[in-house]
Amino acid sequence: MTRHEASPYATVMDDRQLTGRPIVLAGAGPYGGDLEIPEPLVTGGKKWAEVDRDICMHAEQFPTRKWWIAFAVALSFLGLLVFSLITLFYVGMGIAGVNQPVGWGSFIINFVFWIGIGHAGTLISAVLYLFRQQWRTGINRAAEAMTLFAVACAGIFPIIHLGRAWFAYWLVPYPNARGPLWVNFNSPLAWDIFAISTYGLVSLVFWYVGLLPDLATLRDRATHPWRKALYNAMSFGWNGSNRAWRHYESAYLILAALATPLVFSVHTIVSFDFATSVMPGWHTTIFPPYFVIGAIFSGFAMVITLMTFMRGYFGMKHYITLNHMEAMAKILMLTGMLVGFAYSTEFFMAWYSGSEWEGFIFKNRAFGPYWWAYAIMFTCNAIVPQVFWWKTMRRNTWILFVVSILVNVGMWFERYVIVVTSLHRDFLPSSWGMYALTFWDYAILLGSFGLFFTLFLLFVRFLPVVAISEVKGVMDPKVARSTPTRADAAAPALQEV
Amino acid sequence: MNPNETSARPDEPGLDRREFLRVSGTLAAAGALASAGCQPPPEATVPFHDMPESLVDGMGRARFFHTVIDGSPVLVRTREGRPILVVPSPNDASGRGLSVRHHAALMDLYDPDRAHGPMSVRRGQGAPVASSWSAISAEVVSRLKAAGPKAVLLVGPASSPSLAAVFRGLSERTGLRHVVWSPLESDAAGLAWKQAFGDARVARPRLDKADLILGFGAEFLDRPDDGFERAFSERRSPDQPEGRRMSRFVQLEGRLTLTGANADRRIRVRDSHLAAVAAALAHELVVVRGLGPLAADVEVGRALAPFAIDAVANGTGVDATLLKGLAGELAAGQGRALVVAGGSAGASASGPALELVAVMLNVTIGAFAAGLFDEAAASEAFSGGGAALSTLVAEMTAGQVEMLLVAGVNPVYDAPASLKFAEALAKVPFVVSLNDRLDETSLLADVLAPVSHPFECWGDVSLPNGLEAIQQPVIQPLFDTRGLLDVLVDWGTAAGDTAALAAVTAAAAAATTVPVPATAAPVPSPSVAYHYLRAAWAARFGMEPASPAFDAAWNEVLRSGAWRAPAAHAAMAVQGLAPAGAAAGATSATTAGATAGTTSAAAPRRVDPAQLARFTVPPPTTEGLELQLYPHLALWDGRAGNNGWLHEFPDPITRISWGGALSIAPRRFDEMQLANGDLVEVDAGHATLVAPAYRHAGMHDNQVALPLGLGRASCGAIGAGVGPNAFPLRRLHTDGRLLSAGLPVTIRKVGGSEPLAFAQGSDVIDRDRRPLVPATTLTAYEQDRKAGTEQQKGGPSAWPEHDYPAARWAMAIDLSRCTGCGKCVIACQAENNIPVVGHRGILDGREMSWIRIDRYYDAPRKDGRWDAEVWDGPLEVVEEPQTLFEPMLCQHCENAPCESVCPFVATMHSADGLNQQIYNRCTGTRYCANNCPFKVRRFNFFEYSTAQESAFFRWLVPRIARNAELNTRAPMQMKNNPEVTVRSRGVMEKCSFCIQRIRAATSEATREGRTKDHFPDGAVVPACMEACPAGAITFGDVNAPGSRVAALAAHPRAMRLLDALGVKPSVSYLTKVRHDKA
Repeated sequence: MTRHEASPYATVMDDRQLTGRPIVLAGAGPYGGDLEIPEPLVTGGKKWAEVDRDICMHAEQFPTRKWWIAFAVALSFLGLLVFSLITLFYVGMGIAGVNQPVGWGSFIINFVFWIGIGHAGTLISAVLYLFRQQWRTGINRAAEAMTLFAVACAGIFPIIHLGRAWFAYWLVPYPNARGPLWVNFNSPLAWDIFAISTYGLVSLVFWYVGLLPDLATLRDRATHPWRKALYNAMSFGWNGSNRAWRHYESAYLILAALATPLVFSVHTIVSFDFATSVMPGWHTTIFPPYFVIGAIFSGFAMVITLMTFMRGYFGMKHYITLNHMEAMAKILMLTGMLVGFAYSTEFFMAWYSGSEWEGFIFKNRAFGPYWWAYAIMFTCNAIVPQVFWWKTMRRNTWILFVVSILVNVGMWFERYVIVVTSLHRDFLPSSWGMYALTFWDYAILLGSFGLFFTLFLLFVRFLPVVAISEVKGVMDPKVARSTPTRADAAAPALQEV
Repeated sequence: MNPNETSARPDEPGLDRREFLRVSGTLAAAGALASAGCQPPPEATVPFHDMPESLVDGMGRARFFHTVIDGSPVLVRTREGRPILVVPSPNDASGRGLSVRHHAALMDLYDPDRAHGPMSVRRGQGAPVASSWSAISAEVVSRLKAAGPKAVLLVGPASSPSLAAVFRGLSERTGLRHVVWSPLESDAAGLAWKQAFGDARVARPRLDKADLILGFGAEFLDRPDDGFERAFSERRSPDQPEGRRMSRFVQLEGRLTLTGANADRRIRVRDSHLAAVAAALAHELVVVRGLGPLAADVEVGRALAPFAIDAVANGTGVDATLLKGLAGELAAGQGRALVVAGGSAGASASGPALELVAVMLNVTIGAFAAGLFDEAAASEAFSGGGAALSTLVAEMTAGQVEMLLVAGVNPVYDAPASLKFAEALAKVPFVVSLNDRLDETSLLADVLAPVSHPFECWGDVSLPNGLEAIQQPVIQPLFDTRGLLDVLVDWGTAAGDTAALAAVTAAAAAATTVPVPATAAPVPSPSVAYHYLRAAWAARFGMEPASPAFDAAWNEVLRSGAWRAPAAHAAMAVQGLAPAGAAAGATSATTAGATAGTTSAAAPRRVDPAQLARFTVPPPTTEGLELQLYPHLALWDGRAGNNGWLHEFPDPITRISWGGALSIAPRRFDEMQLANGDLVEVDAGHATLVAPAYRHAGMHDNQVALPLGLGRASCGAIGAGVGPNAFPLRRLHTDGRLLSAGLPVTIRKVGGSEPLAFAQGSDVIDRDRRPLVPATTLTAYEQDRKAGTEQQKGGPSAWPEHDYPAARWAMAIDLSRCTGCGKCVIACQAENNIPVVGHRGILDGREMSWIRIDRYYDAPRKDGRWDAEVWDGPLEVVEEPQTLFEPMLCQHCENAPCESVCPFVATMHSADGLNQQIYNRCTGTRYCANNCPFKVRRFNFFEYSTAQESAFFRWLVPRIARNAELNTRAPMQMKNNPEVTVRSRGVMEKCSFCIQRIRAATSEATREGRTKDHFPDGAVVPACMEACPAGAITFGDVNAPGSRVAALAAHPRAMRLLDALGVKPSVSYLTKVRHDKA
């Protein structure tokens, strides 16, 4: 093998050239042996200037027809959400499928589902940052945005599932004139308020701090004075000075350290909503780790879904490469196996505890009237991700996309199984019942996706979807520093891909 | 700062802040009013026009009035002039009971679909138009005079002496005839007793005295107004006083009835075989064993000859050894055993034979001689309804009836199809309906003269045990209606009846001298019926009507609720509605000097053996399928078809609400591959009916059953079209009786299904895995008094114990006494303003009842047989079900799981042991309901208390329109108890242990300066306990020394559910003890 004169990264023009294995530089080692270097995180021999252009161009040009179509669809589902909520608030909780004995239904399922999805972003940006996983740079911005939007979606549900949602603010403990009416700190629902609001707030700050240099880039590239002024204000007058960078890096590190425990605390506390009850199927100590793992699992699946779109429709293949996708596939498989392990442990514990109630609930989960929900959950979450034992599968974006969708279907059903099957047949056989989603349940579920995608589409339209400054930091300077040609620098018109 | 301290500073000069706000607020309000067209906002309240001064001292307190409804004495609780609760009359000596429909009578009173005034209906030709009483009366009277004996009054059975007198007066003056039609009464018992004793009065079995009760289709618990519950339940507790043992009850029946569900041993025999099986027992006792006075009689022997046990066992498929065992039990129980027959099976072709053989058995085992029949409470069984109606129909068809007055009956709805009543009605030139609404019959009438609800008008009634009672109104008529007695007195006057005339004169005189109600004196009633009654009762008392002595006596009857006729006047009471007979159940006492609650002083009945031998029973075959039509436990004959409470009341056995279904035996059901709700066509030859199928546990394989009283076509918005109408399937027997059992039918699946609204999840309980209902057998109980209460014990609690410094409220429910009748459910609904959710609401699992009666079929595993499928009711469990009833309500747990999970502290534990729900704080997370192991919390999924007016949303979500129809149409809200908050949507609610009554008792103790620390028994009686005829519910202060509830809570039979969870309920369940199966 020949010695590379220039950086070997310059030759990787397409992510299909990536193998997922290190590049071996024969005889390049310090003692004459082979040198293994990781494959580049950015392909296409990109120059720094091109990075700016590639990423900023989506915010700078009139959106494509595909964006408009996607936005129109998302917006109409958002409209459905608004209409459904008006109906819900006017008519009452009765339009949803909840009943006695299943007092919680799709709203709580959706809440746990969305808050779970909201876990991946912070995990990627904070935990992987602390562990110096450089591949996170390609995906962290979008993943964090996803987190925020998912938390926004999740935040709706605990409020709208209340019988009298207009009194939801009573949950906030502040000195008031209602008695004063204080919250019950024994109740895990009160803990939720703190957990979710803290998580949402820290994620927002973390995301925004990361955005500052890139907003400044957008500002610098802006030609219209209003646009310049807006991005200037949003970037807090970032000037790229050494001092600014030093403060920025410290703040980012501190926020990462703050956000990391939240990744674990939020879903732990959400799991307490169930675990502190007396209901068989809920009252179990495995719930906190089980929920956290499930959340990471579903969050990564959602990241994969979104990244597939971004690679395909936004031409981000050079920044979100197959190597990124493969790394996420590995995490998906690992967490999938952990989730499967949790499912099995629950069965073991139900048997080992000797509790009649517990034993029945689990038998009923798997073989009772909701066996299909359990089957969907188990297949999608524990079996389907096993395809990632094969590297070809991990690098096949179609497989990845399908699996990521299936995992999220499975994770929605996991919450369905936990909420519905535990409640529908509890202690007294006389009060057993069934639960089914109504039109309004479906409308609100779809509407929450409408909200999520509306926000996400606005995000890709107005903000840099990849962390420009961070990506630049992981590029090979030998390749990226050279001046781009005139043709490279001229922004091409957005193409329909 | 003390939050109660106000910041008003009146000594400050000028306009202070509060004053400013007050003035500006008033101005703003005035402005708003002015802009709204100077109209005050519409109000939906029902205020007093003139507050009677007498109510001032009664502020905040309920007033109670004795009155009578359907021949049952009741006590009506009123607040601010509105009846709000119907409870059994305390210390009532008549022996009558209340059924759920009496408890629910308030909904009939406040039914918005009643006719609001007289109407000209014009036989459905065009819409009915409003008319007036004067116009109708003028027309009716002139036609009455013209028609003479060609005018017929068709009435229901009534036992009112005054009504009977008015009927007599009218018929004497005008020739008006009257015909009595009662759709549900079976004539069998009356016929049999008349044949046996020459006296059609049927004596009342004394269930409290019998050690062994053998029922042949007996339905004494299914006919709750007969009032057998107390006597039966008293002997069903295993803890009997010295010298008495828990009674044993064996029931033979085809359909699992409420009565049969309470049996120790239940043997499935189809209705048409009951007579043969009874005869087989008689054969064994009389012929084989030679017992009793009939043993020597040759004719009896000859009559019983074909009924040797083995032959009958072959013909019916009933186990011969079982029958021999029963015969042995009867033989051993001579003088202590009782045979009760009848029920729905009495209305089969062999019904009179069954009743006759039952008499024979009772004679043989000496039940009459031992005083096991109460002659004082003997009642003349109604007879001849079917025959009388068919004669009338023939006359109508032949044009011999010029004018028909229909009062309180609805034959277009409930006459057998073969009679073609509607066609005959079309041939009558003038038809007047005196029903309360535009029902099926009224719609085909010329005019509707709507009668008042019994709570709105005067009347009187004869009760068993020689009692007479006055039906006094408890509210002014809500609409332009009049009492039946008022109407008939009015018409009688016009016809020249002197008694009626006198009453009208007296009423007119009273009306002119009405004083201005400036004092607390009661306002004289303008009701003519009132004056008619007073005159009649004055004659009865032998007093002058205007005398103060009579006023005192009259008031005393009103105050105490009933009057016992001295022997001299007893004869008066018998003048019922001859020749048709007095009403079933409600009746005439004749035995002079009889006192209630004691055995009759009359000599034991003399029986003619020759007559007893005259019965025919067709030889039993195992072929074919037969239909039983039984009255719906709540809706009865369907007259209360627009009562939402009754529709929502789940049948105690089938647990179906809002409709009914064809009950099919589990084996046949499975063979036909049906699912509950699948539509099945019943072909009875002369009529067919399509009804949803139901897998009825304990049903005989060759029998199916349908409830009557459903399927009203026209009764109002609430009940119209609910369920199938099975009345047309009935058949007229050759002897004129109406047959509603033993009807040969075929059934077939027709495709399609109709969802059945079940108020219960699984039917079956495996008590070995889920020890949630304490139950055991008598032998086990006698060995170990704690038998049946075994459950996993809870560990130590991490929660600090509650401190109960004074009273602690608790309840004990004796499952051995509870018959599962469900009156507590309706009483609770009325007391606590519980809304009706409708068929859809039940289907969706949104029932609101605070107390429910869980009905389980007992399937203890013991040998590890069951798997998950036990919940689907395997044949071996449901073919011979052991039924358990368990009233379930909030358990007011000491460590309530609902309390810790509510983030708003909307539910909390009180210092006197109540788990309180604070509606104002509740925002409806429903976590408490999820975390309640007993699933007794109820959520307001919709706004039930006020109508949601938006036309758009009513269109979008039609259920809210239906909810409004069921709950919020005026004057329905008047039923609401002002002491209980009406809940809005989005809040959780549940049993409060009737906290309003607890707090009222506390206030009263405070007012009277008594201790509030402890309360004696009876100081607080929740609505469920008040309604329970069986005495199964005991409530009280468990900390009060010597309280009954404390004794019961400490009883070895007491079990607090789910101890392993550590929730520590305040409700104790006492073991259901059964006799061993053998």
